[in-house]
Amino acid sequence: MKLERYELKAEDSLMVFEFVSNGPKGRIPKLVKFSETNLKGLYNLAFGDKNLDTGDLNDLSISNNGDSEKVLATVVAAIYAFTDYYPNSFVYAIGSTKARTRLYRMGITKYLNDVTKDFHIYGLCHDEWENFEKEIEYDAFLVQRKKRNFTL
Amino acid sequence: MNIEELNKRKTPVVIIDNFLKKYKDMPLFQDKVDKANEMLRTVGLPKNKSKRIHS
Repeated sequence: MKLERYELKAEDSLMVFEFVSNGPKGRIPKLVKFSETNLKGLYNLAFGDKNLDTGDLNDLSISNNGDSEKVLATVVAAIYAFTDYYPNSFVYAIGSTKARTRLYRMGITKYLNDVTKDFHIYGLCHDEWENFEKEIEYDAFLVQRKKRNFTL
Repeated sequence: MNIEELNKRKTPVVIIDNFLKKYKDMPLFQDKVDKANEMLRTVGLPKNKSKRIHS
């Protein structure tokens, strides 16, 4: 998977990332945040637009900046960086709307063969986690980086 | 390895900018964190993974 993606900035714990979407609607700063949950080692992933005037964040906005695939590829790159740094972590993700959750599912489905080389991927269906499969509507997603075997 | 080759790797080059630290402890996207905690309370982790994360 060699998708184009935006340059990422992060603070040194790699819990907060920032990048700038650039398209017909202009430059739109976006923030990606991994938040701790009640279970140590499980982080919630969320991202949204940053309003430069107010500093507020909005995960409901629809930018229509013509770069949704590049934006998703950049968020996936942030997950790679985060799970490099926190290799045993789980990352939980849910869309801010059902439509957006469906968009995430379509993104995972499109690159499933690639991402399953590196991640365990689960989908939440009827209040149970199952291994992610194509063509199933999930309510949320959970990913964990696969263990890597290094050889010299 | 040049910057273009680095940028083709799955794990990206990340520029450290500690100005972003101000967002770390802000309760951003708190509704989603609440949903994650609710999921943990009602569903938990995938069955075959539960032991690993607690160890």
